[in-house]
Amino acid sequence: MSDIRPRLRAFVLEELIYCENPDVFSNEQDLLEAGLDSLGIMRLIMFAEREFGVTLPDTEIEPEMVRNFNALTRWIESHRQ
Amino acid sequence: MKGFAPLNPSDHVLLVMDREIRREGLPGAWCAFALELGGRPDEAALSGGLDAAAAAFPTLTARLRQRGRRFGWQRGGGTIPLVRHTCPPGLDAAGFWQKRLEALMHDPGEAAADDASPLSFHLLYAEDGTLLLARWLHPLMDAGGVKRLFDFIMSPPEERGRYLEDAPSLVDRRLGSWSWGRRLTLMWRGKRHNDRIDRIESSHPATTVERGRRSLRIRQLILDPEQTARILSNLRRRVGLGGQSLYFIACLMRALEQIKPASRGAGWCIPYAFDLRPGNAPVPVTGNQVGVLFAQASHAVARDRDALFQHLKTQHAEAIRQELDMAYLPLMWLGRWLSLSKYARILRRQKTGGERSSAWFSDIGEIRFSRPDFLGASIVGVRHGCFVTSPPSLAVLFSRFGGRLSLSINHLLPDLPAEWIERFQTHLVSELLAD
Repeated sequence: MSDIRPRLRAFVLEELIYCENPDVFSNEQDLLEAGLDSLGIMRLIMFAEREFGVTLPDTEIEPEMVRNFNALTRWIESHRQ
Repeated sequence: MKGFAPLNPSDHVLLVMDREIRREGLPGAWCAFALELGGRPDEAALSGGLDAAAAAFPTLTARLRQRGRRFGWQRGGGTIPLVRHTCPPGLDAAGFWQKRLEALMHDPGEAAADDASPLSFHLLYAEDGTLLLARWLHPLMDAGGVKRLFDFIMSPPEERGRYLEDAPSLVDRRLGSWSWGRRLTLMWRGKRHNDRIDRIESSHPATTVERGRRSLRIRQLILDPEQTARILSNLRRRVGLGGQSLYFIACLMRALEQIKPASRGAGWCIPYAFDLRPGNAPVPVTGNQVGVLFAQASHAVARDRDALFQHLKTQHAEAIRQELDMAYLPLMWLGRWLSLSKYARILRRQKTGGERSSAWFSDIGEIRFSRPDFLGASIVGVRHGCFVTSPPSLAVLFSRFGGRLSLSINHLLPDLPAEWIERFQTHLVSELLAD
């Protein structure tokens, strides 16, 4: 389970949002404010489903679930169990 | 070949469209992105910013040229033109801006299109406000790049460095990161997807009218914060966080469906581009950094509002799952080896020869500039415009700024006359606000 957050961070900070110094982007920092857009959210969900073998229902895609890396990790973990 | 910068695959698609537009006797794929300002900006600082931009991004003053089979930008120095226009007495600001915008879009002229500066800035002064308008030829850059160029110009010189790492294009970079095997796999996936889409013949709002004199008209519609908040709430409920553009596309399809298509196929097909730049990235500024997806629905589905949202959401999720968002990049790359007319025939049109797009659409998204004012003048609104091929003769552009949704309805006369647009606009706004 501990592998989720670093893999999410690598994907999001490489592909979906721009950050001058990814190392200082905290796990509580707001991803939507940082530029995660609509298509980015969709790609993020597809990445999570493929990489972590979960199904993330449409009905649960709320700002609170994708707000930051900690929230995202909790959401994915809840579907892994 | 010194100073020659080839178009990236995404730019090349826009060049194909530019040539299609010119074949109709129109000036080409010219676009506009304007800032409505609360006062007069510092003109000296603006001139200085444009000179700095010309030095930092030499493509902005280049000319479009062909070298062998490749098209690209031949750099040769020069400046970005800045032209001032003053509102004549008796005309209100909005009317003046509208007339000048449409005139400027037609201004480059058909014959001189390749020799015209691909980017120019215009200051439209009226008593109660100023419009700063950037007009550019679409293969040069996308609206996201123009937004970054505004940011560059309004930034103090010491902060401009973050916009300067401007190469290579994200389309080329992504293609370069894939093995040949992966490129081919994605390319076939994209081609198969095109074939599937083409099984449903696209309807169009206008019948094909005879070749002849056409002109572009642009309507700007800016909704108030209350209406915008209502639309965003509808959007969240209907399509969720993961497919915001789909709400606008669905409303566009529904508005077209209610008027009834003039050229009746089996359904509506709306292409939508997405930005390859990571969110908030300051670069690249030049070039088109976009991929494309297609939203498609039969007339029966479009008539049922609930079913349409669900259908588009499922279609979008499936497209991302199958990596179709990436599949068009190798297809566009391959297309560069075709002649422009062959590209249009093989990759852009349906097998029957008809136009795949029922309307052109763009969701520029929420625009947040790096500063609240532009060189001393507050930014109070944004406006957009673009040319479109005939058919479909209609392009609808959405963006949000300062809590207001902005719509730009671009249409060709005589294909879609003013009365038609009036009805279309009424239906579109009603669909956006419904629920």
